[in-house]
Amino acid sequence: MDFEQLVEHFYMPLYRFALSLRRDPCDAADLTQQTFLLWASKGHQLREQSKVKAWLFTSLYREFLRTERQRVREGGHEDELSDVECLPVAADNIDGDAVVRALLDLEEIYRAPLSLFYLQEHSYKEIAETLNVPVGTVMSRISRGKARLREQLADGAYQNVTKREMA
Amino acid sequence: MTEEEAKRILAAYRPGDQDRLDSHFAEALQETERDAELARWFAEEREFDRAVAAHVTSVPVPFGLKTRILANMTPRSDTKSRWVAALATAAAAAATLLVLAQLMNVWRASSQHSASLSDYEQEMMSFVKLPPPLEMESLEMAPIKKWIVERKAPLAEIPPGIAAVETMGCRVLYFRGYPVTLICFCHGQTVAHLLMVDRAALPGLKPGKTPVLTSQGEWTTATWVDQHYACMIAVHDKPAAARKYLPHT
Repeated sequence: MDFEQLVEHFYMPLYRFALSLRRDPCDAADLTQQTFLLWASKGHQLREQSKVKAWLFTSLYREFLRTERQRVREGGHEDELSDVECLPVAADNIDGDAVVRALLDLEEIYRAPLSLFYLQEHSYKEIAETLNVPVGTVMSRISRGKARLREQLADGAYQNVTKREMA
Repeated sequence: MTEEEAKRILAAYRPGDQDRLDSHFAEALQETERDAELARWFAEEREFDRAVAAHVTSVPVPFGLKTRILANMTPRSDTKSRWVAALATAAAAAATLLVLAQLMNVWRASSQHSASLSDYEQEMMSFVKLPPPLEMESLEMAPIKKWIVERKAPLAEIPPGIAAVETMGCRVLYFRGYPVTLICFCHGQTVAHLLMVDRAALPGLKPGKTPVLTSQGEWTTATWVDQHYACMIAVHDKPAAARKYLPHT
């Protein structure tokens, strides 16, 4: 896979993952570009071509952590003991913009694994590797993150989000 | 396995069935065959996941992002180029530079045939709509010009209308291998972007000092060509706002 093919194949899921982390389209675009810059300077060190996807997503996440470390420290307190009520939300009632908005409003510890989960590019094991957390933690965060997502969607506050706000 | 454990595991089962062969889910999936309530929950969960995934995977990606990524870096790092790079390192420096220079000429020549003013305008708009970080920031034009000259980047005559506006800074972008100088100006709430590229980057472009204004949604671009450079001003405003920055108006 040459460089242009690499960009073609991965820039959209990487951007969407970056958007879920940074929550700002311009910042997400910069983070995506920075990831490919890292690849251009360090990607040749990767021996196994099958690991390209993992390398890109992991690098993007590390770059996010590097630049956002302070914010992550202040905002990311996982509430392992709290139970989140799982509210019924009918799939055919879900508004697309509301879903994305609700996802972006989750805490980062849920947002990152849940975004990777819904992008469907990664198994739970790959998500664990990318985020550098144990598999069990990933599964808990996906489960709790979904519950919080349902909770937010159920309260209706996200139903009137316009496409312009999301763009 | 309790129902809660099964739910926790099945919550990580991707909606696209990519995990159907993963043994980690096997036992929990078997539970759904024995437990009707769990099966009902899992069906609803999958329906919810499919709906959310469809929205998440269709989040729009900014127009021009791919172009911006490709234009701002030097491609390399596939296996073949690593091998070539290793050989090149071993070769004499003079020979390597010669080969690279020849390759660059071929690349530029081939690029020239495909680049059009429309391509250029679209790609530059994608840059300024997602403003790239400035490499040099200054409120004065003199140090900006000095920075540009030191990098041998394009620097055309700056129209008096925009030269009078306070500067923010500048950077160098690339269009099909050609450097493009971007200078940003701040006029109240409006940011004006002046882009300059060597005329050779846009073959077929006829010299003409009269700017051509184009509306692109809420943006206005104005393009003109002098003896050496193609210049473009892009503002997030109406054409009337752009006119005051242009030459000969």
